[in-house]
Amino acid sequence: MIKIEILKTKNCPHCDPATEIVKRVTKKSKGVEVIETYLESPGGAAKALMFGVESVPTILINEKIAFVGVPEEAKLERAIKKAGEKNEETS
Amino acid sequence: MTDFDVIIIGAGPAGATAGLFCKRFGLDYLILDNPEQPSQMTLATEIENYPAFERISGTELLKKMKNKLNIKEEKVVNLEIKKDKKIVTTERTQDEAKTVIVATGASHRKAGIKGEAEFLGKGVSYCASCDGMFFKGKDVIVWGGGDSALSSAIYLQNIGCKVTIVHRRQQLRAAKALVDKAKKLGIKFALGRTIKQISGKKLVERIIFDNNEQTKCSAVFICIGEVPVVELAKKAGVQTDENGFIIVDAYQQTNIDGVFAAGDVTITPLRQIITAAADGAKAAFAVYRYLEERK
Repeated sequence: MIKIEILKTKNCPHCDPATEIVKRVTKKSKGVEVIETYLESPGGAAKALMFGVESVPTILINEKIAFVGVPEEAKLERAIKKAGEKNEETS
Repeated sequence: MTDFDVIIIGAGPAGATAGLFCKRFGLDYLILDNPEQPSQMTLATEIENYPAFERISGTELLKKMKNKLNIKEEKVVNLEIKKDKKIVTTERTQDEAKTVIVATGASHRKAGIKGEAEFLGKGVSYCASCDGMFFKGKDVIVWGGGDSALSSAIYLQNIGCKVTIVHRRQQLRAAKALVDKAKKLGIKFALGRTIKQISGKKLVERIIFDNNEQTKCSAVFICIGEVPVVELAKKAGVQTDENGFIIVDAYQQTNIDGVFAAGDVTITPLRQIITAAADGAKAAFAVYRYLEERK
């Protein structure tokens, strides 16, 4: 399973477009979980601290920072593919 | 492949208004919205100079502008101009139109100084509404002297940041209403100063001025202007001025027959939401007139 987590805030104009891109790219992918985490929530704030996030949107793939800002679709696709290959290697 | 009367590239205030007017003129139109490049107006947390709205956020206003329009969220990768048709290719599809309106807007200008790229996302930001919350109670720098810099500074001060505006000139370019508001809120000013470096260990810790003076801060919000998004249009042969903005006439017509441009991407003396929207309306009218004349 590939876990993609979008760290976002309510006021961020770039966060929803980033979320749309992630959802579109992963729409047909099996074994991909997409989570949206608002940093205003206690859990979100803790996550921001844990990863040293100071900018949104930040996209984590399998608990590692993969993108800061709105990702390019092609780059996101490559990153997801790479994460899948890594998962297969370790399983 | 679908054949439209007009394809509008960009869905900011110029593109959306062009779409609205094309719809009302009964034209078969399509707006292509690049999701990787949200309109600059969405960065505005409070807009107080758009008629009929006392106060509204850029995101909310754009949402209203885009309501019920024919918009496809796809990034355009190529614009090909043929004599009687324009072929627009996105990452997934290809469409044809008799005319095109380029409304690709502008993106933030980078300062190109030491530390800017290194600390991006670690204290360097171009979006106050995105990243301001990470710096509540901390000293932050807003770099710039225009409306967007002052609006960002006001937003940051209001959410609890301790803001200093740095501007290379002694005079700010921003509207007096914004300057007065910033002063009233207790925002500090460092005018006639130029930043040469952003420095720190893992995160931003200070800025260094060109005279080597240093000021401690946790973040630098860079709002020093815009650069037009014109690569596609230029590649297709659309003429720009020495700063890269598309040259248009009073009808938003470019140097290429059937290619129009509107909003921040053009040589306009004022880059505001209201002027971009007006450009979009004029471009739609020009397309309508152009197509009528050729019937």
